[in-house]
Amino acid sequence: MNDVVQLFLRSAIVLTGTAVVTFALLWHAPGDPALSIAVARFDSAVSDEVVARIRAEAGLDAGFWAGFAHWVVPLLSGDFGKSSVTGRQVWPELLDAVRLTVPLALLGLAVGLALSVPLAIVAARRPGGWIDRGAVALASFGAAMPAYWLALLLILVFAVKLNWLPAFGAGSASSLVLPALTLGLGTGASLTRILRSSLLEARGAAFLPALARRGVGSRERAVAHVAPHAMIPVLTIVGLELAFLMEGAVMVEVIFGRPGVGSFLVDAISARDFPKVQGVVMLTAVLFVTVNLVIDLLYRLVDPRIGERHG
Amino acid sequence: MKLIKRTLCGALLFLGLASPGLAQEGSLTIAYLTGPVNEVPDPRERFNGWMSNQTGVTETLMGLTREMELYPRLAEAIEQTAPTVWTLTLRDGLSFHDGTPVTADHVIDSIAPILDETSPLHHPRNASLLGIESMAAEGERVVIFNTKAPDAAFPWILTEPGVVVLGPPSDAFPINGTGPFIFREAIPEQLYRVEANPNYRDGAPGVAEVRVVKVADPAAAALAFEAGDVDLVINYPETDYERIVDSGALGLSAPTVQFYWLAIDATHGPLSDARIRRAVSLAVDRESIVEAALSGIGGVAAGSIYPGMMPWSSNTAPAYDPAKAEALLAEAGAVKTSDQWMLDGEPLRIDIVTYASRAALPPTAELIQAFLLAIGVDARVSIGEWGANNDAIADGSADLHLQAWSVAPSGDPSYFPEVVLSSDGDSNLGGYANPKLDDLLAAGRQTFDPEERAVIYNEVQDIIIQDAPLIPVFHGSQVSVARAGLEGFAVHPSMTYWMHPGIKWAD
Repeated sequence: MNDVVQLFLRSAIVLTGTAVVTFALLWHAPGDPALSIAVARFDSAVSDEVVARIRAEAGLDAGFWAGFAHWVVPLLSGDFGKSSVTGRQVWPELLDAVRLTVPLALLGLAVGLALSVPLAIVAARRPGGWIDRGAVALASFGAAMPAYWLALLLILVFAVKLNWLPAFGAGSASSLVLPALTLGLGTGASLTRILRSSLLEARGAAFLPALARRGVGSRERAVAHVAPHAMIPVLTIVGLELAFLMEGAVMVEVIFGRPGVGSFLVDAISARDFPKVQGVVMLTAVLFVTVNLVIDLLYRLVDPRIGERHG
Repeated sequence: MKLIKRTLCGALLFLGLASPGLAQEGSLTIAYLTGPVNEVPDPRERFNGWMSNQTGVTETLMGLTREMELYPRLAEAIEQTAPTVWTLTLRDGLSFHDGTPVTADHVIDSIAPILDETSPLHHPRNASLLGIESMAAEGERVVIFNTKAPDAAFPWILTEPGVVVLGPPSDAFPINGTGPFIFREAIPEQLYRVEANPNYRDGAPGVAEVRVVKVADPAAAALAFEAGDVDLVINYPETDYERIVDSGALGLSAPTVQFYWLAIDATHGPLSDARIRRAVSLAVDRESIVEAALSGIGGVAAGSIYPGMMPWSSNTAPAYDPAKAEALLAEAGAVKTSDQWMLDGEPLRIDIVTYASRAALPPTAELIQAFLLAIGVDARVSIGEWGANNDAIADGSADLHLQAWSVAPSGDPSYFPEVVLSSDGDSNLGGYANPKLDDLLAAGRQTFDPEERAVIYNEVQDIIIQDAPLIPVFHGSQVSVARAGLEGFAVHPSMTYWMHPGIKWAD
């Protein structure tokens, strides 16, 4: 029980640190944030009076800690504040963006898992064999390929040449396919490598020959003993990949002209829209922390010794 | 691999994919860099007026021709009846999309929130440019504008896309404009959709529907065009322009009022000396920059601040003379030792800052650096944020700031030089001060005869060439590509006009 409480405490510390660091980075970034907001709202040629008014409106004329408190106190009750540029509430707009990005990230993860699980199992059966080498080469290629290039390549093949899928947009289910493939192929590549190594490590465990000598069948050994061991690192990576996919969607959303957290963040940063940037960063931090927390709790389910060790 | 193939095919079939096909007949799908910010983007707010003006939903009181000349648009005439009084008469028979007749009261009700600091539609920039003290209606068609000071720019400011005339909104007409197209739908950051206004005063438009879709990445927009998903790409990648036009697409490129220029720190460092500023200007081969950074299509080398199509242009050819540049450096007291110019015993060093949000800026900065290095000036480039670059110019830590501005968004010549060069200009960060230039700019504001104004702004441009308080680089062109068969579309230099009733698909 103490161990679980510690986990929650650690998560709270991480979130507090994230809030302070995010605010400090934005506060001390080069350039005048009030001027950036003014430019995003109106134009480059705004008067000093307008910039001064915006500075006061956005709470930028208060000191660092006063500004931090001004933002973080309402945040504790779930109030993300209003956009410095549009004056609208951040949360509903952020929620809309999340609603568009989550299906993309989940589909990307599904594509990644659909590729990596069978590939890693086949590869790990005969390490060093031609299938294994092919899988490793494919995984390395996939991991090394920039998402930007892969996205344009997929558009070229499936939209321009074959005319099967739309090249951009978010208006239909079909418009989700190419962005999800872009995300999923990269994710699949890294998952394949990790899953393959985990399977090989678990299959080489010293207790397996002992189990075999006791008459435990190969299927039972694989399902009841190899799989749980191989699952530990995979759980970590799958959880973190989901969070990374939310972030990785930034570039993919821009290329495919999809609204979502990515475009929301890019627009917010260029306009120095503090409440929006902070909203995205805090939401991402909560996502990472939650995923880590869930993974840590799942570890204890998969391998109860982990909880005992920490306890 | 078979498994992967099956999984992919299964996923595609599951999603019920069909070929997206070409855009519908009678409709026009335009790919553009930005999209609407909310479901009903009021044209008076932020930059929303650009999209409503571009798509022909709203109209301004005055308009700009392709030669950037002023013409009455919703107005029938505008007349200066006293130094600070402008009398505007509306055209007869104007009506909003919902059929309501346009009156002088509608004009006042539309503009008042822009000026009102307590209104959510208050727009400080447009309010300041308009400088309106009061407005009054005289009958149904006449509006009297009283300005705070005599201002020759006033009729030009009435071309600003955010200064629009709107009727009362309703569910059917949330943006109740007067233009050839009716606003129908906006999906934030995705789509802005309009339909033809069959009752438009100059006749029904040639296309039934216009869909503006946001594609922020120009390369992705180019691929979407090739896939047949869009009919027209505004801001097509310059590097691919020749190929796509050769393949049968319609190339649409023309110079605009977008101006790429170097702001100068005129108070600290070597560029406080006008001779060194002019030397830097003469060392830069602008034609080569246009060729190398813009594939020869994305701009026109600039000799002065106004592009050639504007009535205010001095049509000064850009000067490139490295030998004269070196002579000026010597005249300023610099000494050349082993291919490096020294000033006061130190290597002559110029720090150039720019930003990356406009693709042409970083390569242009690097080319300027190369031209300066070629004559022996140690030039350095750094990419930062626009506001931070301004700070660097103001505090003397950078010498040149390469940036892109709209030099005359409303067609009036006073805006740009006043803001960046007059001694008290809000964006005069380099501290340049020239009383003669200040006097000329003040006179330009209060001179109402266009010919007399042209003489004044020619003199302003002469000072810019002689004293180099800023360095022009090039005038940006808008490069667009359309599907063959689109008739009537042309790039407007202000970039704020796209749709008009004459645009249609060939039979």
